[in-house]
Amino acid sequence: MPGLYRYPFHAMGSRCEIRLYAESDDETAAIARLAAADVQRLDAKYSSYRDDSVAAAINRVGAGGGAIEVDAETAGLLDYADTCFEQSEGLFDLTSGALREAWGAQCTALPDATLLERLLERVGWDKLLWSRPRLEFGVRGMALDFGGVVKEYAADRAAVICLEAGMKHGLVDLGGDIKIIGPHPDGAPWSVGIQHPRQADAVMATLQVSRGAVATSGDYERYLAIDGKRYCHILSPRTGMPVEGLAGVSVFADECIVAGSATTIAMLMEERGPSWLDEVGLPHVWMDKEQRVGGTYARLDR
Amino acid sequence: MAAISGKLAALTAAAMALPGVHTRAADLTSPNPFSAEASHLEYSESGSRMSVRVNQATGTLPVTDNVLLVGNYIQDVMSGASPIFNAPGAGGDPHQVLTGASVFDRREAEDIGGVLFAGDNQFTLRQGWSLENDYKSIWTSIEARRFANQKNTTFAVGAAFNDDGVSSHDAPHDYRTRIKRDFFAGVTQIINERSLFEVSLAYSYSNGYLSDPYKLVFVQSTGLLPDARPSQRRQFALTGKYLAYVPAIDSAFQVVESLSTDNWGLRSGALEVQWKKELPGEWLVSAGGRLYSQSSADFYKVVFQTAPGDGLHSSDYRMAAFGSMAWLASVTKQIGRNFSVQFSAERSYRRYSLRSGGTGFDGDDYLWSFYLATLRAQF
Amino acid sequence: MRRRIGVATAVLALALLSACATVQPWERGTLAKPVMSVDDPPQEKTQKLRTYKAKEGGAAATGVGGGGCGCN
Repeated sequence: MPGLYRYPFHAMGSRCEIRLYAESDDETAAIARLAAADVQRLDAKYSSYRDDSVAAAINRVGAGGGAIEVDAETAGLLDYADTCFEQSEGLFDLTSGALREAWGAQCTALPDATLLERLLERVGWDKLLWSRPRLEFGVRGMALDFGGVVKEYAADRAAVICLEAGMKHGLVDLGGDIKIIGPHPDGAPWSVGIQHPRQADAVMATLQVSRGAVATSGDYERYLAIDGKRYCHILSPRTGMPVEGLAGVSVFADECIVAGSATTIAMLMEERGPSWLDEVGLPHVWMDKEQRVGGTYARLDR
Repeated sequence: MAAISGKLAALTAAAMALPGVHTRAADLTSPNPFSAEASHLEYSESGSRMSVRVNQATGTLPVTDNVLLVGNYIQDVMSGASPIFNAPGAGGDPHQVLTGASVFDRREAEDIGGVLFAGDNQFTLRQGWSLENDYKSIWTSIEARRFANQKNTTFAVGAAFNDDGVSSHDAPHDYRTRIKRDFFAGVTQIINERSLFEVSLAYSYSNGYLSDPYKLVFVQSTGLLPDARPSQRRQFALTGKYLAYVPAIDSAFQVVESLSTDNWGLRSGALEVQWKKELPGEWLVSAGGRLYSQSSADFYKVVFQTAPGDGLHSSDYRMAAFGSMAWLASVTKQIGRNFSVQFSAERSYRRYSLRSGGTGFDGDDYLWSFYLATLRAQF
Repeated sequence: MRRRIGVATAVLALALLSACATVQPWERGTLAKPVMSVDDPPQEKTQKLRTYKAKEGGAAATGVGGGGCGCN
């Protein structure tokens, strides 16, 4: 009779948890440690805040406008980011990392327009020359921010590590981005509640998922409050300003990385987010600033 | 459903190229690997006729990630009287003549098999046998299932091959054989989030000694002759099932309709309706009815005036034209995570008046009922 | 009459097939309810089929499949 074991840990700036069903804690604790270790490896590897990360090494080269050869995993992520760039009309752009200079966490006022203009000259995926495995920066002062892909990629990998270790029932939850390992042992799906973007103790929708992944983005997760107005952490590579339009969006896909990029792109598309999501065809639910709800899940009243 | 959008295809393809995002492990679809089930059935007929007790035990055991072993044992203990032939009555009304009430019979049958789960496919192979003094049966069955459209559609095909031998208590060395070959194909299709339907077609071919060694026919001019049926039988059956959940009353309704026809002239139709509901406390109740009707076989007569020229004659009440109306009900209780108990009952009124055509008589009418208790364990 | 019922079944089946939606895994809540299991539990199914086979002349069927059962 399998029991449910929960393994919380901290990574990617979020509360993470791996849940596994097993006969005993012995086998699962080791497996969860392995999976969590991979998440922390990726956190360290692509962190914008660590000097020893691969991201920092890449950005040191970017600062000088040079070229660097990247490893296979980074190459895969850059290829993936390239596809996202194409599918989002250029809004999903890892080079938005350069804008961080203007929007640090200590920021208490809106950045100066001229600063943003100057930074925007160093933003643009088309200013890179990406020819696997060689990454060349066309302009000096560029920086890549892997935040938009790494967390969800880590969730997919963590789930696969658990699956290949023999786990059949459980899930990986990295700060609200969820990848299912398998449904409950009796076949029942997991009930995933999507946080209401404006009411802390309410849900926007409840999804019954027995496989696949659910990712969520919103302006309520990490934001800056300046003069009483909320500015979300997702920056537009066109204006350099935080996006406005959707308060929150959740997408279901087979892979967490696909679900995650879909939510990020939907947020970046602002008011056009809902129609972009309809075009993609993945099941989703969104809420806009007026607390209107729409999307595939919005029509299921359960 | 519309094809995957170009955007989604592009994103998915790029995601698949990332290291470690997809597992190489096979998808195991077996939901309840270890299980055991035991049941006891009490069957009885009206008018001091037959009663049967059946005990059954089943077990399933996973041997690898993809293979499940299944074993079954079933034991029948029969007692009571059975009709042998129909005799013409004094006033012209025929009546049944039964065996003495002391007939006692015991049968056992076992089978073992395996189920192989391979992604969207499932294969089952079973081998069974039953070896008694007056009856031997060995059978093999195979079945293949395929899941499609994200498990919205299931295709199933299968075949079974039976090799039997029959003799009788009175003439145990008079051993006659027969074979039976069954084939079926069916589709289960989900209609929407709360309903589904099934359609299946079955064909059965039997060859050999198909008569009942314990039955006789009364021939006016000659006396008693043995039950003699054709040595070949071809039977077709078409079955449709519809199951739908009705949220307003939190219940499900199921309708099963089955038609069959064969080259013995025996055609039948059955219609079963069931209402099923879950009650708080993990109870499940169901109740329903079944209506059945058949025509008589070409070689059947209640009583024969003269022996038929083709040598085929039977007065077996199951080859007569008749129908039946049955009530069925069931209660299941889930006990904890792993156990459940079920009590079911069915009571069927056989009626000559519900027949489809052909001949028979209401002297054959009786009532049968069974009570079944089942205990299940799943891990 | 039988043929008409047979044809009606086939037509109904085809009509239902074309009306079917593809239900996604997360929409399966209702279909996963115990009352919606399309087959009887195995032993229950076996007992019903054996009884019908022993007491009726028609081909007993309660759904897709079955296979050998060693019934007399």
